[in-house]
Amino acid sequence: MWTYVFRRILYSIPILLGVNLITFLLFFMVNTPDDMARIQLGTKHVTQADIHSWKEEKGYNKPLFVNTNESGTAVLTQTIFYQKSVPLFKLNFGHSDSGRNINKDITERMWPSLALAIPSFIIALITNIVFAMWMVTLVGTKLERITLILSVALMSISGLFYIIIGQKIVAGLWHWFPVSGYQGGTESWRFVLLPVLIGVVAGIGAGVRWYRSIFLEEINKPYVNTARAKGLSERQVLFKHVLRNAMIPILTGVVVVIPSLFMGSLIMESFFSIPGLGSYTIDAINSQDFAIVRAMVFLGSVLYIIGLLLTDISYTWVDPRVKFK
Amino acid sequence: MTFIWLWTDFLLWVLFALSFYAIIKIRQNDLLRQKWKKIFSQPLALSAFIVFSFYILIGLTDSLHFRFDNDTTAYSVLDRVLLPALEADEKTYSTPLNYQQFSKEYLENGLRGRVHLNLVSQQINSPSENYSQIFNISIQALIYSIFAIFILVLIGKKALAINPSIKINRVAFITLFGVIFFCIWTILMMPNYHILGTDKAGIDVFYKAVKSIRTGMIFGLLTTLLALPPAIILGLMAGYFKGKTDDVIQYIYTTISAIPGILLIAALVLILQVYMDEHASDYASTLERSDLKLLLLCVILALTSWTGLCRLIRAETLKLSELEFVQAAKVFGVSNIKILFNHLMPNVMHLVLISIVLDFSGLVLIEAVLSYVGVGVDATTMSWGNMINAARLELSTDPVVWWPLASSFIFMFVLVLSANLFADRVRHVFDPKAGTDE
Repeated sequence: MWTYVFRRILYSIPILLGVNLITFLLFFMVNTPDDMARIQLGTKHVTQADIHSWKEEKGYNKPLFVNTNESGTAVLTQTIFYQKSVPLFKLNFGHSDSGRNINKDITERMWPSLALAIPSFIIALITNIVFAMWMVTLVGTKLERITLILSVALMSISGLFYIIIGQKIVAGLWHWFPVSGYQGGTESWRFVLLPVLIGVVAGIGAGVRWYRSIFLEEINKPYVNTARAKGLSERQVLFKHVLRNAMIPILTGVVVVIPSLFMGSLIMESFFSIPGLGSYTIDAINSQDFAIVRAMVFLGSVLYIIGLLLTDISYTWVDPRVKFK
Repeated sequence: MTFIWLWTDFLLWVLFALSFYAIIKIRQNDLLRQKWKKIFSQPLALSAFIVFSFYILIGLTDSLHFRFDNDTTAYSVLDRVLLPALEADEKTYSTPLNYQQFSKEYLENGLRGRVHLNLVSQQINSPSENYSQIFNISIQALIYSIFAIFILVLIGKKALAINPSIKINRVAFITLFGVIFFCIWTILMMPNYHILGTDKAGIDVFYKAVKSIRTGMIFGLLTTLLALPPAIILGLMAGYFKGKTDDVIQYIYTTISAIPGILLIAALVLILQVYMDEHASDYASTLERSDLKLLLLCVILALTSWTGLCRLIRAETLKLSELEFVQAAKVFGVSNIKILFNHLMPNVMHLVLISIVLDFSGLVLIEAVLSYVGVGVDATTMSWGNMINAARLELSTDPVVWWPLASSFIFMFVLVLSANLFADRVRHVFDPKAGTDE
């Protein structure tokens, strides 16, 4: 198994290289470092000397791919591409365009993100599966049709409305929870509760439908008939047999997102002013800080690839038939 | 009068022509005709389709732009229909169907009170007079729409005599009546009232919400249109040629899908914004500029969204290319290009159709999110995302200004809901896997 994991990690290296190349092309070819300097320094009264010194300071004063002034390997290493790419692979993100240490920011901001993302993820997973199970027991009844249309209606509402209305009603009118903000430590749950609740409700329509289709596919298989014929109760059939066998398709969709929880939620965090990585990214987008956005894009890709790897590994855990080649 | 062809106008009409062509093709093919008949046999899907077509119709009338010879502003056909609301020139907020402004201020006579709206007739000076006029107009609209549906049924009877397989069903009939009533009611109401009130700058909210339909339409339809060619061509090639081609194509889409979607979109839009700011002088008017930005946004979304469909088509083609009809074509010496497009492509079209209808609603929803993140359409383009964004702060005022948010919510919800319900049915009929239950 370890050789398999090792091979998969090797296989993910070219993908990361590709991601890096794409982001580099985007961030440095379309907008030259001169453009970036102008944004950061403000558009008015910027002299060529200002731009030059800004580029010098941030390390953007080298050629993009090939440095003809150097000799030997330095032709390739003394370039922006090399200088800005290699540290990424060591997960060293350097400094943002406004001079902040990105690594330090990330380690500080990952905790609020996780405090919000992990409970949302777990609670949503459980509620979605429970509701989907319940809907499977309703097959063929009128109630099933109503719940199906209801779930389509729920997923037709923009996530922004859930947040705006949730914030307005629950926090504004009833004064149950703080409207926004964050505080670390034991007090954090009070700030996280409302966003978690809204996140779960917002995702329930699509989630329930997805799990329901998985369960429905399982329930038509012969082993379910056998279990029923043995005289097992419907609850035992569902929870013992169907749920276990549905684990494989469920895991495909679920495990891959676990590492990405780390990135936080862009919308939730900025709406509720939770100082996590999501709101960090939004702030970077709004202030056009390309170094941070680039770091987050790279980090997100790494986490996604880890997620794919974990998915494959988790198969062996739930399905003994799966063998690694 | 000169017509102005914006890029998105042009592409939307191309899309319209394409779907018209598709309908003709479907009518010639027995199997497809039966499948579509099955789709419309469900009342819910049929009424969802009616509502959806109504939205498309509005989007299309908003996609014919022209300019009068002595005027510099460009109008769309829809603008001309909604002209009274557009030209009313109110000062500030007013609630839906009201005759006065929302907030009190000092009037000309020195007293504090609410200013009468320009659009509403000056004879209306009390709530009861206001209600009675609204009631009268509504009754009028009801009579007209009953008349209209009566004519439609008469015409429909003739059509039914030709094609008896189409059955009128009750739910669809009610939906059709609702749509017609809404149209007539709006046309009658429009010159007399701000149907959904006015916003902070005194602009009619109904006008904004209706104009946003085109933006949502373009987001949902154009993006898929742009994403289809790479998805289909690369997917077919990967599945058919296998080997090195497959490796390269798989590598490309794995790499793109590894980058978190919204971040990639945000990064691309940021770069686009900087580029457009640098070259601001290249565009003739703000309309053209914002239109180009809308189009490029669709291109960006398409760039990030073709990978899912491509993966599906590749998997399907892998299976198909082992089948006898493809092997036979190969033996007969049919060229690769012909095999790809004549033999394989028709057999993956159900996947394409399913993904078009499924993606549509998601794309309409993502427009709002992008606007919130600050990487959405141009601020001058009317869109639900921009409306929601502006309305967010209005909710915290006291008394609450709820109608701009509520309007964008309703317009968006109805479109996305009808798209989702229709998509469900399409998938149910066309997906061999989903068709097992019921």
